[in-house]
Amino acid sequence: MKPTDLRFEGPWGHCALLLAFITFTAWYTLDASTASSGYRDLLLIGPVGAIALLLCAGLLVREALRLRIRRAPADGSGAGRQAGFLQEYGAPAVMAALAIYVILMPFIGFDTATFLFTAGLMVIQGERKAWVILVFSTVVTVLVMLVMLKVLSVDTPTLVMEHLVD
Amino acid sequence: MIDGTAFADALVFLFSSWEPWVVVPLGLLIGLLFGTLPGVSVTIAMAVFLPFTLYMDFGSAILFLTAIFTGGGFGGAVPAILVNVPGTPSAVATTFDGYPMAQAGRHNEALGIALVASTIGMALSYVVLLFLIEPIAKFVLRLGPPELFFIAVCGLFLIAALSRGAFLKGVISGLVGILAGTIGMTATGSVRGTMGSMYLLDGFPSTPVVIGLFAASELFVLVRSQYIIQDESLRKVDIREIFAGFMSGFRYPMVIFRGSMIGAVIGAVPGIGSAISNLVSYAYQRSRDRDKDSYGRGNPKGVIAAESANSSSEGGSMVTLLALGLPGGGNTAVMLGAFAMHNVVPGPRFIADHKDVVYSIVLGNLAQALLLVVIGLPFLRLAVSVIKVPLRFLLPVILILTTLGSYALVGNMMGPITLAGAAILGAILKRYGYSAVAMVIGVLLGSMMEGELVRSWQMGGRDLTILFQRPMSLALFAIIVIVVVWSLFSDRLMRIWASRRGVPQEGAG
Repeated sequence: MKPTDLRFEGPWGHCALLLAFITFTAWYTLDASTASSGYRDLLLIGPVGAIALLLCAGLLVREALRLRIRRAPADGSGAGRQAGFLQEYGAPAVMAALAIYVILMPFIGFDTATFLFTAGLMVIQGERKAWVILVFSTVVTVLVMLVMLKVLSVDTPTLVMEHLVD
Repeated sequence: MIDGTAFADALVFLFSSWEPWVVVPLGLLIGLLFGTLPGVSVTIAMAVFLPFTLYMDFGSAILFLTAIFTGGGFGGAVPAILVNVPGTPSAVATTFDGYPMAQAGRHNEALGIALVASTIGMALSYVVLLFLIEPIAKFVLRLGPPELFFIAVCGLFLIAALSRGAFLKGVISGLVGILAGTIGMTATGSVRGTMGSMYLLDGFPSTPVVIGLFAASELFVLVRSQYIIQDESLRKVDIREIFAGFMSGFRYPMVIFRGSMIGAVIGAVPGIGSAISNLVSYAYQRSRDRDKDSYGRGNPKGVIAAESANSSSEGGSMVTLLALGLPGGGNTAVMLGAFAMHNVVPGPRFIADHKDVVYSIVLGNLAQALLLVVIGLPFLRLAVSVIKVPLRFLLPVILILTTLGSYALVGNMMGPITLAGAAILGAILKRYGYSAVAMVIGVLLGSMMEGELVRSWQMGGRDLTILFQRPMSLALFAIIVIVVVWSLFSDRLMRIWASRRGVPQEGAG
């Protein structure tokens, strides 16, 4: 059976979130108890961790009972999905763009990262005129970098702007 | 209660020099500008302009900073209403009904209402400050660690109770938030949850968490739209509608009054005030209204309750600063810096010795309330224009401002990383019906709750029964029990009541 023939029904995403909560709570409570020098460091974390684990586990069991995996006829066309890219994948695409932006900022400079992020987001949202993307991204980047460097005097690592400003 | 001589001296100070009347409008404008920009907090604005106060006399310096505080407090309502992004925790509840109003094309009205609620709320809180600064200071001093701990727990459960039909999810969010809020180094020096990163020794930076969790869910969803308001006919900027909204706020004097009193009292509690007062006021207003279901769908009373409380918490926080010398949050901490720059030490002695200065601050802030209307109305005319900008231009700018703002605030990459993480988590929480508000409150208050609990334990001789031995803490505990029981069983009780009376159930079948 091909993986595409399987249809996952029920609250899979919710169960994954609850599992993430459980993992974080268990790890953090354990880490706190290992690091603590006595009762006092666990006065709040101990009970809060225990209650959170109980509630999450209870909810997880309830939700897990609704999980289903069924066989489904393979959908070969995919045409319908293409039509609504922005509707279906717009939010995850922006989340990914934000994550990449933040990761790249210290490596390629805040100015370059900001320029690429602005341009990328405009493309994701349907802007197709290259000159509009170029001009708008440049203006936004220059303005916010000037505010950061000159008005707020924040030490901001940049690739191009700091040379231009100096 | 009012010292006549000191009061007269305060009037002389205010009207004998032009300086206060120049710095106050300037401060209001700076606050409005910074408050309107998502991610660039009022605390940043106050910190940026703090050095300028060195060249002013002490009274003018404090008035200038409180003007930024006031302008920024209201300015935060603008992005909260127009783009669902609260710049600070104190504007969180404003989004609940303000943004739905904007989506329905009632943005002008919502902003006008927010302005009137903020103005009156702030004015009322300073009137309270004028008459009750000494009794309030004595009352706050009576709140011990057990009471402060229960106030924080109470706030958390109230927020969870707001997640209608999802109380347990709200509690889970809050508990996970509390755990995340205690990450870092403890008072005893043990380090937990930092995964070896020195950037986490002080825990997660709170403002990026707040902006990320709240801004995210809606900003990510907005990607699918072309404009904040889809209907072009509703996308108009009308100063008359803003003014009509401003006037319509007067139809709900009791909502404003209740919100202001809640804000003034809770605002005086150090470390809790501004983050919780708007949420408590909103929850209280919703609970006492017959039409509960209209809240969260664009009820103007929701905006009034939130805005009157967050503005009046400014007066409350000034009580704590002036009477006890304790900064309740970032803004008053900057103000404490101004006190230090002028070699003035706030506290009980300051109130006794410098009543004239206290009165001039109060009177100056009452004047600020009026000036806020004069400056705020034309300012809103410009600010509302944001709804005419296509989202493909607006969205990148908001996300960049919040990301770079969090970098400027924290001073290292922990700000943007926290913001991005919280943003993605916020979207996931919303997707599965978890309360982002409860998680934020948990993160904001986690460390403080732990501190108060440890102090209670120490006060009780390593015994926590002290939590239930003081009348005020017992009363707060009783409120928590009532909120929990009501949240868990009210729906079932209402269903039983409705079925006995033959009332059809919502969503039945």
